[in-house]
Amino acid sequence: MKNIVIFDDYSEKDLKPPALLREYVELTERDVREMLVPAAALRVPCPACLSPDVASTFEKFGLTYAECASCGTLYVTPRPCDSGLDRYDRESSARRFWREELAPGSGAARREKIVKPRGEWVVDSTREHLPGAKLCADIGTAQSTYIDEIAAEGLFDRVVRDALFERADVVTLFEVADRTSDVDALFARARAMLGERGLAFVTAILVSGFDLQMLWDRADNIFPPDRLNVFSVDGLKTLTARHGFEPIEFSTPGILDVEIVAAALERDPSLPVPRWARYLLSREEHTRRDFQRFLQSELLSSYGRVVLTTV
Amino acid sequence: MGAFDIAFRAPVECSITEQSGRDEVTQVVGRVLRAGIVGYGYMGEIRRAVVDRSPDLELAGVVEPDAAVRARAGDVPAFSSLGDLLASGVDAVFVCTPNRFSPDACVEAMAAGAHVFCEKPPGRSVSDIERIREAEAASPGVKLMFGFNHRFHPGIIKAKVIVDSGRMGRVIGLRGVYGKSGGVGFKASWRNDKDVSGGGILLDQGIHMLDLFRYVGGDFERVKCFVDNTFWGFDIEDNAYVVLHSDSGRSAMLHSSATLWKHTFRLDVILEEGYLVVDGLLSKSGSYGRERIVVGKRQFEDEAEAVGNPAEEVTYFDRDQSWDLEVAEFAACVLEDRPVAVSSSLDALRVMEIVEAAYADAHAGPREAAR
Repeated sequence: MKNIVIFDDYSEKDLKPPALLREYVELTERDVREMLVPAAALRVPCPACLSPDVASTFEKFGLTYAECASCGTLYVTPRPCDSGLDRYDRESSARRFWREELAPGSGAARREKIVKPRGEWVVDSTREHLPGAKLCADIGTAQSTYIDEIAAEGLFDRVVRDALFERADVVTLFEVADRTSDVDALFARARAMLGERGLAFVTAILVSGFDLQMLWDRADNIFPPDRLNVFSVDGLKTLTARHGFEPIEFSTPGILDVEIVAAALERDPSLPVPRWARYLLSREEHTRRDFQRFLQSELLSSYGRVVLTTV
Repeated sequence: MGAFDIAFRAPVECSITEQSGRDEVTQVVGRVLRAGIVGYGYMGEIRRAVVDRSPDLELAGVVEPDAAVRARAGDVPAFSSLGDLLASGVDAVFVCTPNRFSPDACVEAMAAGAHVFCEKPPGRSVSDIERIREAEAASPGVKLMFGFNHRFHPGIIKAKVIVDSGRMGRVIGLRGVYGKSGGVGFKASWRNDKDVSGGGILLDQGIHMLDLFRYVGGDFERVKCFVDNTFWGFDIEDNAYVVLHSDSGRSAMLHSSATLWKHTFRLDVILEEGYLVVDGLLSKSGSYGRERIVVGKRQFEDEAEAVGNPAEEVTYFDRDQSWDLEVAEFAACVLEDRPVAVSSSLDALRVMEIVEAAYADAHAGPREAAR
């Protein structure tokens, strides 16, 4: 298995302009309370390890997050079903704002720092592990830019979106596990599409990451329905193994954990962040960068990316 | 160690045979290849483990002249001569003998219609590999591949993918350091007997790095070399310093050493728009450190802070599948009847030409440095 550590320089502000992000979150809270809270009827165990045991809970936008006592995954329960989420995607003003305002507003930076490297990751890893792959199918990605980038690399004969039940050599699941109600159905579908031999590329926000462990219920980027499931490293490994996958890469190459916690503390110094972490965040730039690098190398950042092979 | 019996014996069991013009060539009809291992020393035992794991191969027997070593083969047929193994009916052989015996074993096996996987180096000299290639040409149905397994290490696979993508421009230069400190039984090893090995650390270990230079960067037309024999006192070199240059202006340099007290593997690939560093090497002992590849992009002149310390991406690898991937490639070439494209006999010839040119330059004696 391999593990990636990345050094790059960009900030959260480049990817999500603060004013636009604030508006998006406000719209999301309103839409969730109106559309999803009344529809949240599914009580589920941990979507990763299936344990029913809950260590703690907190509420966001009227929905309840439970922390799995076994693997540490954070998940919403009770939750709406996937058809309710589909309706939200189609009809909510928050989603429309994302498509029409937020995504275009940060498009150039996202393309350079996120989309292009992700496309190269898929293509290079496929060349390494499955040369000769011809068909890449994406499942559930909200934006077509990723697919366009992969197609532009010219490796695959075909790159398709949401190709239900079509056989593929490679499938991509970019943060779709985070916002899917029935995660088992999602991974079962991916596994069935790949047949005997294939690769799955998964990205997800991980609750075992530094910024989420520090900020927990106060983390700005944990809210439904974008993060219906926030897997831990252990939880994601358990989930994917249960569906017949083996990781050949498991990395947490996040850049922003330290910056996110520092920014949150600057906005609200009363946050319950431990004294040692506060001291660390007050140190010089190189110390914070080295710490971020440590988080990456030890799978302790909150951005996870995984390459899975079928077993 | 006793000499290998390489007397030719015709195979008595073949699936299908057809006339190839000079010799009979075995065509494989089953999905699983019956494989034999020739030479049951350190490498032979490694290859056996790989064969046992492979879904494409089954072990038909081993050849080992030393009766005590032969006894280690356990429950598979063990022969004292290659001829006996070939007569037992094998599709392929893995030649894991000391360098002096490899060419004869390859030639005999191919003449008998067996596909051949031969450990590096391909003999002791260019004339050895030329003789092997003549036998290959005379048996057009057989596949011949050499054991440059470093090509299948995960860091090298990734480096090759990045270079071939063209994303970072063309290769400008390469730099390699590959060295060890000796190890258990080093002084008594056949590798340090020139008559058996044909050369020192450059031929034994440095050849892997020279092969990688070619694999990643292409061919080189000119070779300069210094060799030293200052510590171990064998009749072969314990250090070699090789500089290569191509007609297209690409350069490479290698330090191959048996006096690196900390085991070291490091390959730098310098490209027009960045650089790659593969260092550490997954191995049984772990002594070369954790394998990783560093990818850095050049800071361009028009950037505000071009300080020569760019952002880097580091990939760490934890699983060495090089032996299995390499043998899977060999088996696939046989089973799918496709040409050997990786670690072919031409690759073996080219790298042996570099080694021989390096030795020739080193032994021609250095010019005096200007004072």
